[in-house]
Amino acid sequence: MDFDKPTDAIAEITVIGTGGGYGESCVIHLGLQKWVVVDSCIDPISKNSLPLQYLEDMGVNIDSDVVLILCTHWHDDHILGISQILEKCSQSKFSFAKANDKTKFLRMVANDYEKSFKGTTNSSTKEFNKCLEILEDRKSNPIMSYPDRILFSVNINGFMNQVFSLSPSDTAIHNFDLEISTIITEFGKSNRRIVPLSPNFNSVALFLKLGHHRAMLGGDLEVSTSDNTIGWDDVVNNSQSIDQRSSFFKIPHHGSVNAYHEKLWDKILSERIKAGLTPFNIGSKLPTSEMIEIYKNKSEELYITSALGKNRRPKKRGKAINKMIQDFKIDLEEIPFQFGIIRARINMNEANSDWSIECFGTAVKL
Amino acid sequence: MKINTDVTCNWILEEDFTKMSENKEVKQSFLKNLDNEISEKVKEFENFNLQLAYGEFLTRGLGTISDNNLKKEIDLQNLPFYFPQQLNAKRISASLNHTQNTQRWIGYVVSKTDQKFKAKLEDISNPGTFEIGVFDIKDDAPDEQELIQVGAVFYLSVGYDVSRGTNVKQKLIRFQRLSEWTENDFNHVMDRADRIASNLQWE
Repeated sequence: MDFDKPTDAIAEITVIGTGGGYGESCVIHLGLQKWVVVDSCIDPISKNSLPLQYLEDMGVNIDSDVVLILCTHWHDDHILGISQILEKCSQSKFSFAKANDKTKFLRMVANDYEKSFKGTTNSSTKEFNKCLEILEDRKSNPIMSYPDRILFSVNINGFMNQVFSLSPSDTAIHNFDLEISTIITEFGKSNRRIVPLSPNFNSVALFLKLGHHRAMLGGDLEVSTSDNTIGWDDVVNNSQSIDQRSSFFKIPHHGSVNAYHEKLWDKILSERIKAGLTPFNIGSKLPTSEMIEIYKNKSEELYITSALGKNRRPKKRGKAINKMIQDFKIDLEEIPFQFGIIRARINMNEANSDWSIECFGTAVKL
Repeated sequence: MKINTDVTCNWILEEDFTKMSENKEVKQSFLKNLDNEISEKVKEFENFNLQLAYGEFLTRGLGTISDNNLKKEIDLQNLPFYFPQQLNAKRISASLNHTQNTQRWIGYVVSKTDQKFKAKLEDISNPGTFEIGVFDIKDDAPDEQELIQVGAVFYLSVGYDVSRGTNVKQKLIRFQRLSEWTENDFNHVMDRADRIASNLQWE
């Protein structure tokens, strides 16, 4: 696909989706050719990082103009290919959710990485380890994300364009420190991969100041039903950095009901919000039709990187293999690769300007 | 020790290569040595016994068999069927026992109930998109029940086992069996973590 580069005064938020199984990513232009990459996803055939490919297709000077790479949380569907980006973006900082007990956290990661020599390790851990090695080589310290932290700031025409992390909350960070021990105990053995079992309160959500305008990226942050000091409750009740309503929102966690917070939509997001989301087109698909209706009612325009498929499809193979799979009654469903891009742009210098949104690939307006 | 099924051998070989996949030099060296040994040994065998030679070296190469009476114990109908191209696969396929249309996956358990487990699968034969599979514990992996845990890695293979002109369909699920961490492994993990911790400050 051909993409043009925005001019210095145009802010951009691009949501890249793959259908769910190969990750999602957001690419942000803060102005003045300062770029931020949030998470990564891959083409499963070429294994290339899609946000990196997008930046290269636009002709962005990867080496110097990508200023921040953020890993919202290290699940496979957000981190695949992120080390490719960090490797090429030599001037970029790298940020992820804070862990209080650095040594214990790194031991958990190193333990899982050791399994790569036995063929067991998670892709996410391998990616994360590669990133740590790159940072070690560069002698570049990672930036911790936590509530109301400025991750990057640039002055453009008198405006401080900034990237704030809104989460994880102090409680969520503390809980994760405790969870690390459980993860090591449960999944530390050499023939087991780490499978995330708990809801996602450790994901980083972002708030963006873009000249006259504001935007929010929800990561995979969810809402707790029992603890209002974690997840979206903490952001909605305690955030100090949100100074005006956001007019663009990347809906968290594939638009799941667990990621929907009424007060966020009513009090913090603009009534004329334009929103984008990525689906999870596997098994129990997300978002549900009920949630799509809610999001459509709450937003002026709603976009999705690919439509939800209705039927389970087996992977295409030769006849003989397919017959064998059928004969053995092996119940298989291919995780589809649906490459879609939602690109939102706005003139940061004009208070009355509105987001102009374009869809590429499988992305559609709902 | 007896080799139970072709698919089992396939799994053993694959597992070993997977272990070495992080280090190309080790892998190449392993293949080169194995090929040299096989080439030498093949000279001593007639075509009919070619697979016996491969079976011996593959299993010996993995260190799982030390029995001097190996040749007597290997049943010719139950010999390994898969060899990488570097090992002159053409010669193998021309012999009496081999497999056709083999399809292999590596997967791990993402959830489990009493009767079934759900897994994410990566196609080894034709890499690309992933798959989700649901398996019946009793029917598909009756001997592996205690190994079926969330996060557990397994290999799935299907293929036609051609044995002296007879085609037999085979399916096997084999859960990864790895040794527990050794003290060296554990020290390596700790050293690596501590090195990174001292080199990188959290900002």
